[in-house]
Amino acid sequence: MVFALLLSFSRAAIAETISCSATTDTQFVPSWGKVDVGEDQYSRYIYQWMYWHTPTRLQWLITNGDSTFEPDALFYDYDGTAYGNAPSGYWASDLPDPYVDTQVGDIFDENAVTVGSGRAVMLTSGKVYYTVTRMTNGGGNSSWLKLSSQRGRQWPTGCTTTWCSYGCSANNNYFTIPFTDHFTAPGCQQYWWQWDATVRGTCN
Amino acid sequence: MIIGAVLVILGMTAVTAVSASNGSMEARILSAKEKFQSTLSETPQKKVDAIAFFTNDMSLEDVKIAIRNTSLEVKGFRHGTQSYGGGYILKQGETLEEAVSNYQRDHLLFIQKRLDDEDRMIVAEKDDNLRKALITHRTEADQMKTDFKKRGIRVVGVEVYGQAKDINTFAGENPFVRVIELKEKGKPQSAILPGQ
Repeated sequence: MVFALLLSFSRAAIAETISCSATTDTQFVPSWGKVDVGEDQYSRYIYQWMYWHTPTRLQWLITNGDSTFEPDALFYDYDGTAYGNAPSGYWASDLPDPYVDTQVGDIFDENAVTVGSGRAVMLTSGKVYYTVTRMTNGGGNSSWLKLSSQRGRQWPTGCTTTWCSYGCSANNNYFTIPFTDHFTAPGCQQYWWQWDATVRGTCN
Repeated sequence: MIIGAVLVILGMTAVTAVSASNGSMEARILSAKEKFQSTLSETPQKKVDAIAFFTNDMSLEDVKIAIRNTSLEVKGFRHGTQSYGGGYILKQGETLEEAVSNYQRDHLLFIQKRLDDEDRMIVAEKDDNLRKALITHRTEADQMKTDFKKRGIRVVGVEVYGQAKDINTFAGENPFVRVIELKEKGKPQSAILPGQ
């Protein structure tokens, strides 16, 4: 199988992507997820939990040995008032081979604060995963937040220079919480994706 | 029988993935060494971002002692096991002492927040399997808290900025450094864990 590294041009920035085998959202998007954005006396932070309820929900990730996965959190900054800006300070996760995602190549008006997995082939269904990171303040005290499940691949395979994760160039992003929901950070929201139905709601 | 066949296939996939990752980790380490040596020989005075990964995990205090008398600027730390990972990115103007203190504080603080949140989730969750998974996850957090109280944060790498020759001197003087891996702008980098 031949994979080509593609450069795709987004509206405001150059995002590097890579071609991947075809799949559907129900083979990599978590069945359930929760995001909790807040602030304590030290800084703002974002916590995420996620869960795939059957092996088929992970099918694409666990059958591609070089797969990566990013539960992207994107703060709305089109008006310069994003709640979060960039990861800073403490971060942690039990996703396999976790890393703090880079903002290079991202859309400038959406501030990504993400901890991803560099080895998504090791994800397991029936297990809860989490990520957490502190972040710097954006320009506002509240803003919309979007969650996006992104599949990708290491490139070059095995990533022998540094650990490199590129989003797939097609069917790679599903907005589990879209901006159109107007979920506002700080706050807490959860979603169920194609698990009987796709619904979103406030946290218990 | 069908279930057995599926389990065998899933098992083979997992074994293949683990051995492939071991091979790619060896290749990654080899490449990191070659790349750093090349930078060192061609431009020893060039300032670079790099991560020094360790042979064994170490206490945060020991890492601080080893690095505080060098000219290197500490940019961050990495901790982790096969089950979880993370780190600390130094904030602008934050001293090494402050960072070490804040790192320890936050590690415990965020484990405790996870325990409290997952307690509430377990009570509220209607799906049996997800509730069981949350209970398991909470138990893991409790274990992390116990581990932290026993041993503190166990660091597996330190992110530094400085001249290539100074980073090389740091590695030469500290046998716990297993490999120096340069950071490339815009490319995320997971940890090289001890034993990988």
